[in-house]
Amino acid sequence: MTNNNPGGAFEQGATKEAPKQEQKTDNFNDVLLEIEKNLDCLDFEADPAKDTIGQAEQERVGYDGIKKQAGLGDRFRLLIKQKFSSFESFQEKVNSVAEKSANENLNDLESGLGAEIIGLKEKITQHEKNMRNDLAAISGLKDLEPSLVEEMSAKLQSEKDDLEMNKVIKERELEEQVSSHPIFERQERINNLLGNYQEIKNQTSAKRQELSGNIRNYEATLRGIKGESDATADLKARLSDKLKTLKEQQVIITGKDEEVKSRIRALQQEQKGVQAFTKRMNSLGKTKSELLAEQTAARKNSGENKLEVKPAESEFHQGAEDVTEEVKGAQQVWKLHRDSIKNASDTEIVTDHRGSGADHHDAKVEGKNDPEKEVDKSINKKTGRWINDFHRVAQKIINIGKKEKIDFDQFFKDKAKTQIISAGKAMEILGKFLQKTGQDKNQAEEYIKKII
Amino acid sequence: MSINEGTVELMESLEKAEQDNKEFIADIDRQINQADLSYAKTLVAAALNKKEAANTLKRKP
Repeated sequence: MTNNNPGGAFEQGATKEAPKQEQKTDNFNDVLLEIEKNLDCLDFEADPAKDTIGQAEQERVGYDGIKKQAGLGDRFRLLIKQKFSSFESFQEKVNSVAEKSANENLNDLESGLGAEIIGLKEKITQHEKNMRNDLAAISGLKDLEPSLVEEMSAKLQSEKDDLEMNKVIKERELEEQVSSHPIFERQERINNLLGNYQEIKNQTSAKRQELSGNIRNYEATLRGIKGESDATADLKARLSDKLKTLKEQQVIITGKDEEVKSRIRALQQEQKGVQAFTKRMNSLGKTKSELLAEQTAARKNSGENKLEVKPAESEFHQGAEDVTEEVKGAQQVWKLHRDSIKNASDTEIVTDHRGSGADHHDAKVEGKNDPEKEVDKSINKKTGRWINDFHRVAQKIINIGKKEKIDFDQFFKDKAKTQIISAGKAMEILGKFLQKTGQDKNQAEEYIKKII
Repeated sequence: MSINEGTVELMESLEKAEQDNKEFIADIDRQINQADLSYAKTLVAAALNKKEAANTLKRKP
């Protein structure tokens, strides 16, 4: 991003004249609230000229005066400069907050529903294995006790059906939560904004090119004017002045073109982060074998066969072009995983990720940047019991709420449309919700504790 | 074409180009202003996850 003026003469002046501010990001939430307050007052219908203030006016009324009387757009940019020094510092900070917030939410999903689904899938696999063993063990009784064998088969099948049904329910629940995640709304807004900036860039780039050609022509024409008289010299001087103005305008337009390009680059970077995030989200609840199958298919499609381990990076910042690298890494990871399984005893098979997934894994694999460890991060890391406990408690509260004609379920669905809800936040909301239904906070807490 | 005719024509052309550029810059300023505010709004909305912010954006003409 450059220091060119993105929105009018005022910011250009402010860049030169305003006192240099240190980056103050300690109380970031307050700053965001201040920005939000300013933005809420913005009038998008107003004459754009009212949103800009010239250098002379700034000098006349001073920095603080401008702050009070500037247009809302300028005030917003001024606030950014005051608090963050530059737009890009602000953008970096807000992005990091957005990333943290989105990742926390995804971690909740991963260690909650995602882990439950993985656990169920593994239980089903284990059950099928047990089923085969049990049926093989009693197969000799088929002639002697056919009813016993039938009964046993039916029982085992019924158990398996229950597990399958539970898995389908959880998968649907996860699918619903994923599809309504705020990240998709953000993705859409980024795409729209990219379209806006792209359109502006097309105009500035075309104008830049056109102006460049015109100035060359004007210069050639000016050079072609001959004559020694005072009148001719005067005319040439006036023409030169005009040409000079044109060149100054050329500099401004070039600056705007570059500025818009830098905005586009920043948005594209953010877009890549969101794409990587949604990719991770789409892998929720998938076991290693399922991920492997997908990655193998992707590798076949891309015609890539070489195995290579990619160093661990923040998934949020990985771009779409990293996909092939991740597939290569996954191949190697899977190989290591298989090797580690071979060396592990049967009793070490993880059947419940909610409680033991991360510990089990950490006990087996140690070492920084271990590729298997990195893959497990996206599958069953952060499986804190409290998240699952909360999930169960929340479900109980919802069920009890229904009996008392309080639709918590709908309440949360509505809330989830507008914000990411962490487990702690949800607990807080439940408390407030109960307050609204006639109970005070203490009673609400008691109510929740009682249910727990 | 005489020297005078040529210079008058050039002057007119330069003045027109200057005026066109002024209007162009003002228009681009307006567009960037709108897009910047939308961008900032998006960032704030992403950070705060506030639906109201998105609704304000929708009020944009």
